[in-house]
Amino acid sequence: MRATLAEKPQTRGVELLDRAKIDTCVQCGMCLTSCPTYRELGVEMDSPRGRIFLMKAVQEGRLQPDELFAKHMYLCLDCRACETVCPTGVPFGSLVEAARAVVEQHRRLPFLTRLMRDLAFRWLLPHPGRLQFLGAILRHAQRCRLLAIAKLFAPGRLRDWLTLLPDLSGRPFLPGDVISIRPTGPRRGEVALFWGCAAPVLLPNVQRATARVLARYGYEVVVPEGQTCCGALHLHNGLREEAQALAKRNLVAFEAAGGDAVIVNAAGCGATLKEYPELLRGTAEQARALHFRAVVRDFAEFLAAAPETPAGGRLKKTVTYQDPCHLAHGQRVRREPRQLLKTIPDVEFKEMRDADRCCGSAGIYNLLYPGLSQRFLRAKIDHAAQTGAQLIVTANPGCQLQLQAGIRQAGLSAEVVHLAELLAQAYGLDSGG
Amino acid sequence: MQVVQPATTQEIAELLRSAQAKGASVAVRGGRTLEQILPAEGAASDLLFDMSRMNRIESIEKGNLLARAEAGTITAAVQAAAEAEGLFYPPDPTSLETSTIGGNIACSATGPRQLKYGGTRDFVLGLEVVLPSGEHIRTGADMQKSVAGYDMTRFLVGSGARFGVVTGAVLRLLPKPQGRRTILCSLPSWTAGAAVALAVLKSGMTPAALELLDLHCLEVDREAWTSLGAPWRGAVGAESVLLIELDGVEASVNRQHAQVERLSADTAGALVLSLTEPDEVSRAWELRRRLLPRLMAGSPTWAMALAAIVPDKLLLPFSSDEPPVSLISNGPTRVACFAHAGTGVLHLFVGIDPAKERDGDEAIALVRRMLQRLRDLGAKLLRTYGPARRLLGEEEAPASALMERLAAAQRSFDPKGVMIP
Repeated sequence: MRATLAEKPQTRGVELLDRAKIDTCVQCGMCLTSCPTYRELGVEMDSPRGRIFLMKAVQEGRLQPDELFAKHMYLCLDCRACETVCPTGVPFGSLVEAARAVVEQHRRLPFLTRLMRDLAFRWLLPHPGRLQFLGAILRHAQRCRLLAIAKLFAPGRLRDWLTLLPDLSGRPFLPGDVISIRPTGPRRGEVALFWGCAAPVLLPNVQRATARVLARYGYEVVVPEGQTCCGALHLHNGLREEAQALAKRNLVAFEAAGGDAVIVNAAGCGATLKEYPELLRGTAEQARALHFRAVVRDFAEFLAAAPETPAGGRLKKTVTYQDPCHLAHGQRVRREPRQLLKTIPDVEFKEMRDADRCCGSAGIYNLLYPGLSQRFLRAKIDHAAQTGAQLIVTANPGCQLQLQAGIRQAGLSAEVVHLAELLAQAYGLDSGG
Repeated sequence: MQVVQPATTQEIAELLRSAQAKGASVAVRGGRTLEQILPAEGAASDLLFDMSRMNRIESIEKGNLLARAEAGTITAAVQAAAEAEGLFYPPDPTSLETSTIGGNIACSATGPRQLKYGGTRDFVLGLEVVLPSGEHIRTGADMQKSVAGYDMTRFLVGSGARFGVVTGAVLRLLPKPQGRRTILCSLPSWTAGAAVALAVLKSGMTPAALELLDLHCLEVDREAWTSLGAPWRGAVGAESVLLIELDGVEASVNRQHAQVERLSADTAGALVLSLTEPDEVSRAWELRRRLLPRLMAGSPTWAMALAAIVPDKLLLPFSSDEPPVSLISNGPTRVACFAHAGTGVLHLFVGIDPAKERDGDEAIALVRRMLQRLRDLGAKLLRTYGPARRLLGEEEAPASALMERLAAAQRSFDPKGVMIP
């Protein structure tokens, strides 16, 4: 059996699929009920177990990584809820990312799609300056109502995208704005802030709030120069080599900056930064990635472990929390954000149903599959609304934009904020400008 | 093979009629939870019915103490719907969060609560079945006491999908017990665990569940068990856990609890922990439920034996020189042993690393010796599972006279041989 397999020409790129990881799955099916796409579609091949079954077939050369395979791999939200319930610890996120990388080696995309993709992933995301420039254009277009008009005439897909765009009227957050923020009160240490790509353009207040809250906790905040996009979107979309190149740039930037910890306020980026050792496995940088991982902390994770909570915080609001998938499932950080919220005097915390089920944002999933994404979003907004909370708190820019769009569509009055913005509000720190 | 997801009984009838006409074969799948231990025979059929779209709970009838559900309904969903009405659906196969009512019926699934309540078999009052001919029949009745005629319901429960496709069931419910408590009893050896289990059974009380796990079962989730308070005695070389569920009116639960404490006080080194937090209780049972996948994940090749043995002999095979844990210590081969105490079922799991074949052989030899001793004590080897199942020897075969007649019955239900179980 083994001999005949070896004689067959191997499917290109199939070595990316780690057989040992595939074999950790025993096909027990405990993941099925946790999988949003399986719950919604009811198709085995759109469940983690079914997808692993397909990956195994591709790995063994029984199936070609064709468009049908691609469809099942890309319909996955990569939310990793299955990892939380898996009894045998299947690293599903890294498997599906590898499967997509195999797909991309075989795919011939239509010219326009390829152009769009290259523009977004290769020309735009790795370059903060270009992102800021695009942000400025969008901001002006929004200000003179150009976007509102565009929305009326845009074709379906583009209209869906424009719907997701937040209000950009606030002051932008430019890299030059914060190179260093001094702590208020006794100095506890120095942290390096991970800046991200699209978040500072689309949600500048979150970045500002993060820096100011950290300063309030006694940390000097540095935004190291030379850092770039974490590569999560590339990795999730099968562009592994591009993700590796970005990872290497970030290693250099943060090693030069030093500090006690690297703070990330975006769950998706945090999960990817913590998994750099896996991404860079077999390269010269793997050991450095291990050191880097040791100091990466999610914002909530870091503050919850702080030796002391600064006094003076207070917020009289009803609050609920939605778990970003890559925080709850990807980094196993669930308790910390809730703990931070519950300890603020006067905050009334209400847990929502299925708080850790994907909201449908999932990187660029809401751009690629708006229909399906909307179904996840509507369920999420229903659950959030049932709590009667005035503030819906989350900890990832993708979720935040998605939830904000959901709230606007549903005509609700609740406000969607990042945990950092809520803490800034509680401490009376200005995050607007 | 083509997968179809029928949504109605009519659709299934039509599909079966056309399959019959074309001579195509049909298999049915529920939650596919058995495929992890049994080869997927359904893969060989022309048509595969995926029942997941037939997942409606049609009614929970409090006055009649029954539920109606379609075959694709997840077992845990039936339990939750019953609980919401103050009722109780006791069957608790370890795959309950994934398996379906139809699948439970096909394999007559059961779980820890078999001890006090019984399994799926005991909670099905009636069935809706589409025969291979496309005819639609109902068995049983929508009531608790239906005694006239043959019990066709019970005949069909556990028959796989040999006689037709089960599309729905009337399930028996009980009032939800007022009190429910989980006790975790940590003991220094398998024998000590078995002794306490036996003492509990003899004392005149019936726990809802009485699960005995050996060291190797605990080892695959060592941290989780210790976090529940079970001390890690690994250094001593042997230990076991008894997971006990007590239910009934509050006063009775208290009395049973006290009795368990009294009974285990006679055993040196016993530690009785009452899990009070709901979170702890669900964690403990979840650990029990995920045991098999955990064991399987650690072993490239494995075999499992399901042996039937009368409860009071449960502790004997391991009481003297060869407790299961001392069989193979720190080797690549793992032998884990767990029992549903009181129900007569004992599982032996053997994980084999093919790279270390010699150790594998040694383990198989030892397991065979254990199985032989079980047989000497009157136990029957009911079933073997897994890729290495042949290593464990022959299963107990039913009498051939009976098998012939069953085959004839199957031919009369399914003359063209459409159904693949």
